Amino acid sequence: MSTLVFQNPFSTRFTRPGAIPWLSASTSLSSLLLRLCSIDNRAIICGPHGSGKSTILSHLVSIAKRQGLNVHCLRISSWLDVIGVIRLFSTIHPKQSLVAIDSWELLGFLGWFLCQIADFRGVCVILTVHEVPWWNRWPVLLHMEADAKTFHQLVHKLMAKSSRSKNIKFSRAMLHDVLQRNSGNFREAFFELYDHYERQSRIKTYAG
Amino acid sequence: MLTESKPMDQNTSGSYRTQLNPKISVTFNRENIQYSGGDQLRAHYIVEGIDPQSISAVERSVVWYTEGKGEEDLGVVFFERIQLEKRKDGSQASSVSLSTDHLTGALAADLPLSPLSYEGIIVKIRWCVRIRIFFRSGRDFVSEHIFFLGSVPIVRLPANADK
Repeated sequence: MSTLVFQNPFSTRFTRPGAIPWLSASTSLSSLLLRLCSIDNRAIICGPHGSGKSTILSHLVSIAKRQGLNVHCLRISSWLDVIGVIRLFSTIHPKQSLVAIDSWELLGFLGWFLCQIADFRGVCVILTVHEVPWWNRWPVLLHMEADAKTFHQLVHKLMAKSSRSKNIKFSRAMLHDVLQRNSGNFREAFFELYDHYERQSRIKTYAG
Repeated sequence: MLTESKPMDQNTSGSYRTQLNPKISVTFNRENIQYSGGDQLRAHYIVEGIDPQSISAVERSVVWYTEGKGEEDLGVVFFERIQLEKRKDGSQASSVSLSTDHLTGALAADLPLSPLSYEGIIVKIRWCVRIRIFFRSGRDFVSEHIFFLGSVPIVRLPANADK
């Protein structure tokens, strides 16, 4: 048996939230946390699918943990999670905790009720949503937008992780097409690149 | 004969940092890093390139994980955390060996019969020895060293895949 390993830099383990870096030169993660404090400790990160909301949330959580905050992370999968959120908002110590909740929009209008509890108790909360609900008055901490330049930078950084990438090249035009074809959704674009990478990597290995 | 595998390194709390990272090398008790179910894996590791006094703990484990386009699965067959307590005189007490310029240790684990290593296209199953270093500053660093369990052939692309 051969001991070849086809490591693919676009697999989930390298592109999942937290594994890819925050590249913005204009907004640092620490400054975002400071801004959160200045806007009453409750804020929203909004943006379309695959624009990096969960990624930035994951990085903010890491920094908050390093600063000694007691961080609670939740990912909403259905409106039934409302019970867990109520329990959390009601029991945690508001001054020393941060609650990070991903996919908040799945709670629907129940979210309004939860926001009232958070406001009443003064809980520090960051939410991610695709669009800010009309009933939510919390400020937007960051509006995520996928752009081609960031995508190119991320692809470059991901490919630098794998030694096989030396033989594989993705042109700027191709990356542009991939991003457009996936409507600016980085996650889906990475999955498409996974297939391209896998194909090229194996073809070049067996041809060589 | 011991053999050294190629590592995959990463910072776990924020990747791509410019901080000084350790060089971790692992040597296995099989030259071809090829094992069968029920075999005993023995490995020896060396952590170099950093001040050993800056390390607060070392976790070493033998794990398998899936890699691909879906959610990751993970299984742990061996795990051990070694806390390096700092004494008042500046030296550290632990079961790992610590010199002025590097840290070494060894581990042994009985491997299960499955899952077997698999190099598929959509999904891959990897076995590795994972060494995780925790620094006193709060950051950590992981180094993975792949080995193979079983001998499932590598999946090849269909003949018309390059067209």
